[in-house]
Amino acid sequence: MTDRKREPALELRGVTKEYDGGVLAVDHIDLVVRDQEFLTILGPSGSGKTTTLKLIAGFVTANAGQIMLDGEDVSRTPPYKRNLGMVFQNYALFPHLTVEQNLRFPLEMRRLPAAESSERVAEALDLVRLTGMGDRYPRQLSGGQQQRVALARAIVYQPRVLLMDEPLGALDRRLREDLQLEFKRLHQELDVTVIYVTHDQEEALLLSDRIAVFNEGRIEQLGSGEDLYQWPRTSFVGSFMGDSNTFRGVFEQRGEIGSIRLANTTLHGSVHPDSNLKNGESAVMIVRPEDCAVGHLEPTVKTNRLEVVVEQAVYLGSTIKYVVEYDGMTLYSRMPARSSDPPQEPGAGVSIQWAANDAVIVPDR
Amino acid sequence: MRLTVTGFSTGRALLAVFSLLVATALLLPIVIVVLLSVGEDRIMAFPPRGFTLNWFADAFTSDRWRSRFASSLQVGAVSATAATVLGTLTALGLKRTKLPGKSIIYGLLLTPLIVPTVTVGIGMFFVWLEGWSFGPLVIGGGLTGSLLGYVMAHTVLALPYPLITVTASLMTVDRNLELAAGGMGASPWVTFRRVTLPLIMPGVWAGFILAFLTSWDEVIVALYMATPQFGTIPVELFGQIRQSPTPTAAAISTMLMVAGVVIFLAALTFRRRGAQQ
Ligand SMILES: Nc1ncnc2c1ncn2[C@@H]1O[C@H](COP(=O)(O)OP(=O)(O)OP(=O)(O)O)[C@@H](O)[C@H]1O
Ligand SMILES: [Mg+2]
Repeated sequence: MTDRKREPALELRGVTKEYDGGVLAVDHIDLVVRDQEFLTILGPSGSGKTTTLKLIAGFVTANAGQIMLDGEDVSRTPPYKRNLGMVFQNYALFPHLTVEQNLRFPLEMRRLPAAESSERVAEALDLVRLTGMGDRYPRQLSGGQQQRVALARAIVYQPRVLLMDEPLGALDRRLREDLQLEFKRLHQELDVTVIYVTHDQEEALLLSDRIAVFNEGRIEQLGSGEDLYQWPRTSFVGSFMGDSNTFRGVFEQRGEIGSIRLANTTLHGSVHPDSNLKNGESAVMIVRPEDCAVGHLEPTVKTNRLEVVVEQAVYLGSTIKYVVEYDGMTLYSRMPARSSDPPQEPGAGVSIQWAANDAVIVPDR
Repeated sequence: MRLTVTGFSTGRALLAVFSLLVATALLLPIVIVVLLSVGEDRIMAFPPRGFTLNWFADAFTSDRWRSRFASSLQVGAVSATAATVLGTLTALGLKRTKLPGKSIIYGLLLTPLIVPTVTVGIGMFFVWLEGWSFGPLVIGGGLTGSLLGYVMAHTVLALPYPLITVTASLMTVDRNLELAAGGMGASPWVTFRRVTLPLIMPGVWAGFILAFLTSWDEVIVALYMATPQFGTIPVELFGQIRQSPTPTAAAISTMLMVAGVVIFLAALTFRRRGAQQ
């Protein structure tokens, strides 16, 4: 790894895009992408992920804000002068050109000598394991192969930043998992800066150095996968990053630990450092199902405990998933399936409990 | 709807008879023309007597027919090229830009298909003959009986065809392909030449062929525009049949028909090749 690594490769400053008709697709986004980083934009449909990529690529122009590539403002630079690579969800391979001609296209645009072009094309095909497929037309390839060609075409000219818009969205699960591993390998081998769009949180966790969670055109939270999972800053991030139990109540601070008051009980948890919560404000507690235990449990200090009724117990091999009911709310628990503990039957009255340090309290908004 | 077996077969029989009648009505005139072109009489007569290919030889050796053939070919080729280039650029402009009132412009450009050609012809005749005068400035004028006049008139009449076929082709071209080309460093012009144009080529060729055929058998405006020195084949045919219907006219017609069929089949092949891509 070179010492460029911590430098910003790309920077968005207050970038805003409002489409004709008043759709605010991207709303004052600030984002610094480090050199050689794998950054994923994760968010639900319509949250502005594609628009953000298009803004970076230059396919749409921002209404406000700046886009800096290696410290240079490219906001007004046309796409063909930005030297970025883009992989589209539907691949966008040129149907009238063979695989090899597709890969040569960006090299010809850069007026590379033919000999060097051939070398690079062969190298790129080798990287994505498609050696010998150069003479085929895109329609003669399977979906996964087409995806690899699209990737090869985007890296063959060594663009400054590689943009990928849900590149695996159209593929089945098995293939997706294979290609995810391949992307990870390629990112490590090529030391390239990647901005990757997906709405699959597992994919984001698997691939990314950092994840930016998008919601309604804004970045809800930016951080490592672990950060987002363990320390969601908003209930949106909490529920988007995997399964979660959420409780809404009134906030109270008592020393280190915070608490929220529900109708019949009070729950304790760690307050998110960025939250700025004040006593009496509405707050949300987020706790992961795997941090919750279900059964006939001894009460302990520093734990939250609720009496619940088992609705379903689903055996998932290594774990058991419980769906339980508390005061009209549905809660989830995921516990290791130890043979010594007999699973609880539906209808059984049990308790669910979790440690205060495993629960995060964030503002409700 | 419930059809009994007998009802079904009666319906089919009726349909077959009807189709046969229609086909006969459509094909009979063509057959008659072909028969007339090989008869031995000096004046077209039906039924024709004897068999000769002299009239075809006549058509090939006559200076007049040769010059008409050359004019038709020139007018057709040049106006079809002009209409195809303009139609393609217009289709691109209307499909790939954010112009306000695009559908109105598109509709206006298709009017030659709807407005009776006689009407358009009269307008064209005056403009081409007299020109537009804006005060002391006169545009056009004196263009009847000239290649330029014919080409301009036929370009206008033929423009809708390439416009329609290229627009249809453009709809099948994924916009992301053009964006991808741009992202890889292709300027808009290079993107057009290397990506868009090859992909819309079937539509371009189909438009060109239809435009050529439009000019090739256009007779109304051509009549207005013709002078004794310069005219196209249809005008000449029309004139000859009215004066003395020699079988040469039938021979010419037969050849035009064969050429038309060949061109049409060529167009079909292009479309099929386009569809395979
Ligand atoms: N060309 C356009 N004109 C007008 N509105 C648009 C246009 N493209 C996108 N939008 C709107 O902008 C918002 C963001 O769209 P965008 O495509 O960026 O979402 P996305 O996060 O990529 O969603 P998905 O996961 O469904 O691809 C949406 O509300 C969408 O309807
Ligand atoms: Mg999208």
